[in-house]
Amino acid sequence: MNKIIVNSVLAAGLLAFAPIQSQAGSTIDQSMVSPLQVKLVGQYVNGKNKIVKVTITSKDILFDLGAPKGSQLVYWENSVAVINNKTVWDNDVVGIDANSYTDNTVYGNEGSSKYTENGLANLSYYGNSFNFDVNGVYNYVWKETGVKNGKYSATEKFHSSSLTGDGYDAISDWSLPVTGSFSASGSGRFPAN
Amino acid sequence: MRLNTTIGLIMAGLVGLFGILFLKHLSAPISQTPLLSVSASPSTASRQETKPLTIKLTDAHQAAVAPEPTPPLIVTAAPPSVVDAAALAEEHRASIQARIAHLNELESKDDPASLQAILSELTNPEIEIRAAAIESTIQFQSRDAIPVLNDLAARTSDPNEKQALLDAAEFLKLPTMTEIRAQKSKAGNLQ
Repeated sequence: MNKIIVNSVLAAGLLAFAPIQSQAGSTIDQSMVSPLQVKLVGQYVNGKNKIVKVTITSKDILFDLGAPKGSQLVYWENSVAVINNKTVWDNDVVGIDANSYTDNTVYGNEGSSKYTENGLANLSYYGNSFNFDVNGVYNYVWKETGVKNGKYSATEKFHSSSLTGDGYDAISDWSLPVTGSFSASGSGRFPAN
Repeated sequence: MRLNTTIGLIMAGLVGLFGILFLKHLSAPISQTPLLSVSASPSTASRQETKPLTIKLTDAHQAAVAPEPTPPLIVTAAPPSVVDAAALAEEHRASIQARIAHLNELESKDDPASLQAILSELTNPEIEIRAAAIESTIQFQSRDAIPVLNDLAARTSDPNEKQALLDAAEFLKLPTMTEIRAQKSKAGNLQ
């Protein structure tokens, strides 16, 4: 199986420059949709008194929520939503708070700008079978181009790579120290006001 | 006298034969000389007379991780002299964003074709796309990706990228919360 995958990767690698259907990024209701990648590692002591690690990703959260297959966890309108087939399936499924300490805007040529923000972020999830509540220093960047033909393009990146906190697995009744990261990035075109 | 004549004729015949063979060798085309070693690569695939083509991971991966300048992913038809450099850069940027958005879509799926599509981007010439592909591989949550990640790490010279690939492989080796849940449910049902 591995050999097949490796060979397929090579074959596919030859098509690395094959064009992807051009898309204007992802937006819903004229708001940026940035897929959220959660990557956490928790530790617990198992029945044999051994410390064991367990991972939590966005897919685990989607599974726990019972979201339809192919759903995405996204950062959208300052909250975390589940989207499926470009429609919002559920919103506010994960708490996300950003306490800004510093911010700055740099203006470039032809109306372009870059906004950066740093501070302390909190990511919390209280699901059907597990919870976590983690904090870490975050970095947020919003870049936009000047207006052309009544529209402008923007990109967003919101991430923290130093999350720590705790978690709980309700099924096993385990409390878990948790470390990890989250990242949300997206792009889109928006009408100029 | 008769013996001398016979020996002379035989000698003359031999000299003539060697002469013909020597001239024939000189006039033989050079291309008939066999090629002893030709490095196999996709570009030599059509040369059937050479060594059979064996695709080596090293070649593909090293080419991918080599710090060479990369052409834009979308090439416009307009002549370079009239194309605005800023517009091209913006188009290139948009193309990278589109690929990353595509990776995000693929990571939410479960099928082998989506995994292969993600893994193929681990060797993309754009470092930003390769980094996104590593994250998408993690989010896809398939252990089939581990040997690919380890193999690429072994052939990557960039220490940061090497570490990211190894970290991703280590992450995927761990059980997921969903798997733990499934094990617990199974154990509960058996009791």
